[in-house]
Amino acid sequence: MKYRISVDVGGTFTDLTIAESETFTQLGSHKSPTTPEDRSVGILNAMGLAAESLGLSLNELLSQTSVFCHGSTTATNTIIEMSGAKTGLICTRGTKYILWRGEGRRQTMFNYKMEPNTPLIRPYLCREVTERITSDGTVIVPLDEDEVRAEVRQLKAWGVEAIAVCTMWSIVNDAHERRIGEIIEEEWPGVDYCLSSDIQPIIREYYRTSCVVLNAMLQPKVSRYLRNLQGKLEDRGFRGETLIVVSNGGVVPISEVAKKPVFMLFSGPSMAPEAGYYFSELEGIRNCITVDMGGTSFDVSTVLDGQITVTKDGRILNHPTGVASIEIATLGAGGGSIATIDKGLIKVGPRSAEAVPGPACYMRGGTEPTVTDAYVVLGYISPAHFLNGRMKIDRDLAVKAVKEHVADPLGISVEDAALGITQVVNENMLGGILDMTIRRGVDPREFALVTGGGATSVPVAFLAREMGIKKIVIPRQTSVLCAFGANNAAIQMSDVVSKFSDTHAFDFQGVNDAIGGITTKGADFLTRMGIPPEDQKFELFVSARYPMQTTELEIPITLDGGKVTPAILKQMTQAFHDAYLARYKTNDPASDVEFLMWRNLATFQRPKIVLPESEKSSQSLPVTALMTTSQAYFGGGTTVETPIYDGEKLAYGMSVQGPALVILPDTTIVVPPFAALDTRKHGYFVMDVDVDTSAGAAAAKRKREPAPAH
Amino acid sequence: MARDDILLPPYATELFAEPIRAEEIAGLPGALDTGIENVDPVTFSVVHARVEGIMTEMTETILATARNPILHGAKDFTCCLLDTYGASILSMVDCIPVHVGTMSPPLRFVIRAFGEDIREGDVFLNNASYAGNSHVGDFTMFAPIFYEGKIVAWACSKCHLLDIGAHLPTSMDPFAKDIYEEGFHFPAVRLCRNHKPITDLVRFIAYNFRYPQQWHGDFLAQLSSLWVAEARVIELCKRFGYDTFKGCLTESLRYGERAMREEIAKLPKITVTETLKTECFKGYIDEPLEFKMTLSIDPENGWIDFDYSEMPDQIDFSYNLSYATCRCSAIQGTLPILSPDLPYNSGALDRIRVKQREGALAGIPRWPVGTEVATVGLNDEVTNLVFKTWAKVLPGRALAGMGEHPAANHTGAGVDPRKGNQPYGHLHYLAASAAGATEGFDGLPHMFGHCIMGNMGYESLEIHEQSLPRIIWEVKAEPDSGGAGKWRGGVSMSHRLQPIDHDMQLIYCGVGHTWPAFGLYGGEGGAVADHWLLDGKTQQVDARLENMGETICRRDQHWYAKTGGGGGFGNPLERDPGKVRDDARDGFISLDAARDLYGVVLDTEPELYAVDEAATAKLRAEMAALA
Repeated sequence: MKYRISVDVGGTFTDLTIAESETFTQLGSHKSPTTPEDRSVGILNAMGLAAESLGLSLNELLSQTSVFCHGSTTATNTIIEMSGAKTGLICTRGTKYILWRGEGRRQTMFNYKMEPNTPLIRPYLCREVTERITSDGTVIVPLDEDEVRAEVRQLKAWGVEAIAVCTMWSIVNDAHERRIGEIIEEEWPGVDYCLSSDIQPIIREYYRTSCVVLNAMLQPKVSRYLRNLQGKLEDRGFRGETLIVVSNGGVVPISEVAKKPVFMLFSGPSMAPEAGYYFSELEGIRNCITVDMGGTSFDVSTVLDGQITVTKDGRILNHPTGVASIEIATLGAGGGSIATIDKGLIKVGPRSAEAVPGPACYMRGGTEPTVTDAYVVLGYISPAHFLNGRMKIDRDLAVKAVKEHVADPLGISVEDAALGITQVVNENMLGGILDMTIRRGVDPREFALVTGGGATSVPVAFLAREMGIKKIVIPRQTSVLCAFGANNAAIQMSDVVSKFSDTHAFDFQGVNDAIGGITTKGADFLTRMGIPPEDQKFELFVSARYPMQTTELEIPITLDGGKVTPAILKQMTQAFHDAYLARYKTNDPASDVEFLMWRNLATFQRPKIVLPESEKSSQSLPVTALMTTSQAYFGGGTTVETPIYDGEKLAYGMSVQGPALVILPDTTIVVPPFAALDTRKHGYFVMDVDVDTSAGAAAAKRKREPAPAH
Repeated sequence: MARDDILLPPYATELFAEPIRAEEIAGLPGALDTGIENVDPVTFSVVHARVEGIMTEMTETILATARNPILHGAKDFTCCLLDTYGASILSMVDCIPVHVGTMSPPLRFVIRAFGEDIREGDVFLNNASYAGNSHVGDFTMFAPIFYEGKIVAWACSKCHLLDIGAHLPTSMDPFAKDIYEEGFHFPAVRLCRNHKPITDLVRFIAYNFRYPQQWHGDFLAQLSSLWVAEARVIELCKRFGYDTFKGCLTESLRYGERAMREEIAKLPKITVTETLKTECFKGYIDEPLEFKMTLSIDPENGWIDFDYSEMPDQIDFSYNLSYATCRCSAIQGTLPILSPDLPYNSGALDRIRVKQREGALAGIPRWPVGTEVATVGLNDEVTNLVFKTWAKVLPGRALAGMGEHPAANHTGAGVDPRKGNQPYGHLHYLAASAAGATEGFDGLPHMFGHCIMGNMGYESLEIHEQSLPRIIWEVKAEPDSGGAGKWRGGVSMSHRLQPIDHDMQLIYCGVGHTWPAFGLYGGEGGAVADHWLLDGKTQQVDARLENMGETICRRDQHWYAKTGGGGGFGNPLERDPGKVRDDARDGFISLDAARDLYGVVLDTEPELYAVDEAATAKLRAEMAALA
């Protein structure tokens, strides 16, 4: 068993990285088009490329592969395309409109010419049964089993493909949900069904219903997809283990997610921070921001002190998933975002030129200026070298689009207009980075900024300078970053339990019982994975708040002999006050604290991939890599002569002073005049940014003194 | 020095209605600086985007830290940045409509009251409707932002509080006939100095308001949001330079004005008058009065003028509109008609002028008559009239009547037997009224009335039951609540709940209970709001409740409260039968309504229902002949 393979199936490309599984040495990465009708075809094609580069047949490669790690947008796309199973819901009498009602808060001020939000499933498919449990778990209305039977038969008659069950307060007492499950099995053996208390026992009926309904919609299709893929791999000699990337940034075996596909919703992008951190750590930096600019969106994720930032509630199409997920701020700003003038104001996006017609310079009939066009006008993207010459672009069309739609209406030069477009879009992207850092009380200046995706290394230096970030890491694997991350990800399972208690009258017994339940689950999981106890790692978190708040802050806790004791309670409470102050600039130490939900994270960190090292070049000047020079514009009224280097020829020890462009097969790195690019021994690039501007000075004062509580 | 002529009430309306003149703030360092002229468009765009980000950050801060469900759950607050003259620059994007137009007047009063005595680290409170604020329940707090000793702008957060220390446990008391019955008013009062709360005042408020812990948490949340904005604006001044940032603020107002004038220039030169019957309130308005307004558009000079001088006289209860909310009714009924994308700043808003008469129900209230319900009560109704008036000008953009802010969204108070009978108060956001239809679109659900227009959130049932001693038996879409039409009025919701082991006091001041929200061009009106006390066992009606009142819901009773649906638009017989079928299947309309109002014959046997095309065509032809 020599190989460890990971594959990330994206919307356009299927990315693969491969490593040697004994020494964990990185062997290479490959890209093949995604095949939406059957994604396993694209996966096998990418594996074929990997086999070829090693001089092996596909069967030879697979039969020597010990671990196959898989991140996939299958679940995501199933929901986005609404092509999941036809699903019916069984719920408490009086709650059938919960999905339709949602949360309100439409966030569009004065527009009434619009369609209302579409619920995940129509109200008529939400079937109410008589039963009621209260917040303390008391049954005040017993379950009417005859009604349940009638509703199951009704759903069967309508040909639903999956049934979701969510009743009020099943998080405290799941007896009614369990009984409904039994009746479903009696009435309709074999149908896919799931219970909210099994899938994700979280408080808030809307979130929990949304979660269990998403799960039911995904269950038949995703398990079919995984079975099919596994079968094809086994047919070709694969005998190793398949691990699936889940939303919280870990990987788990297929058997663990087949019944809980809702945990796979962010399987694709969830590996970006993992991979970003890998490089950041090589640079000795424990905090990093990974940014990824695609055609229509810009994704930001962070790692703080070695911990990937996770949100308790990932969302898809604005439907809550109720699942802890890698936190990704997604902005509608990408290479295809269109620039317009609105009453004298430059606006960029959220409208995008999409793949068709695409930016004006793509020569597919687009006439509106996009961010990519602005880059072309400014000379940041060189037509001769775009995607290594694989795709033709026309600079004149980009100039025309920027001139007609932005420069002329504002009465400024084409270059200044293009620069303006990039500055506005940078500002939008900055909003995403701010969202993930400063607005949470985190100072990003000592962070490394890591790039993922092909287009990100064009604006990244400008973003870093605005944020006061001095160091940018650009992996050579930048365009297959998620696949690279998946090959490193930890085996991880997170279990939650809702158990309310507060500092006023803390229920030690009840809380410890609840915690005991989830820690046992976690240990059982890792033991099932065959991981010896000494390699099993557990982390416990609690969601806490002040009385009458509804947003909780999740804080890590450490137990004493597996229990919350009075001393531990005191520590937990203080940790909450401290975390609150750091985040919100005020706190209320005189107040009680409420604890709502407990989460156990069971982890086994697999050995990480090792990048091969190269010898230091005797030259520090990159003369051997110089290809040509061109003109680029960085403001100030005149263009400057800008050398273009071949990134493949930049060796360890070489340094490129800006302004310069560095061309790689799938990406271009823009090194502005205020930056310099070095090549490291592991092959990746580091750009040092001179942040000594007024912006840098501003960042120094970003943290204000906390307000005193009184 | 503070002006000593602003001491004893009643205060002259000009003090908050008139724009600040340059000489009034000349003594405040930097107040007159307008920054560089002709700030370049790129810098302006960048700063504008960043200020939007600051508003979002202020909002997120309050959502995460407030203690009061009207703030963190329902989001009844708005954050805003204003210039040194008190002109609003930018509000958060998803704010509360009735707050948008009511930011400048209370700040103008603060500026005039304190003159030069305004320093870095100060925070001022103005919740007094006779000092320019919307209503007493809205704690409007302002922090001046200084950069290198010069005032740059003002940050503002306006938060609706649950309690303001009145005799009834609510900030929405319909009976308060004057300000003395409303609770505590703070007509421009300094709350912080040097970024520290003035503790004697905090103690005073905490002593007088019910639920002091909760209020204190909300107060901290407001401070956090103001100081977050202060820090961010200072950063922008450092990054772009003070003069450039100021230039952007100036340009922002010009941008607003430019955008608004562009929209007004597209309109016809026209004067129209329209009327609407008022809600009735037993013992106060027994026979409906008539709201009347005249709208004049001057496209050349870019003005929209509303004349409210023929509005009925004020009444000794708390539904009278305040100066600020009355002006805002015209704004919140006009901006969506013109374009939902207009910037909500003074540059744009000031192109809408409202002639308000003193002593009117919707005008300028005469001291000291009550205005406690000025934001959600008749304000919704007057706004419906603004839309109805605009329908005469722009039929294609006209919006049929909105289901107004009903009794269902008002106060329930009691004690929690699970927590040693600790007192609680709560405003209910379990169910929302819905909007009228418009050409091309059905009315939107989940609106809560014009004052909110869907920008507030619903409570979670489980969170509600966890924090309050209640069982919520049902929240549901009310069938046939949306007025029938080619485009159906929005479907409203209802709630039915029961207090556990205690008797609950209900205090409510609804509107939309008397008349259906109007339909347009052949569309039917929406269903009115209504509420009852039911017997908990039999579900029989024990009592039908009025729109305004105070009552007890016993522990063996259910409070069932319906909100109002929106008006329909166009002839129901022209509605796509497929949509009628979908509505019937999801319970939004009854089968009777499908047949009797829409002329659609449905076969309810198949899962998706089926339209009997032939029978429908026949029935519709018969109904059209009768009409």
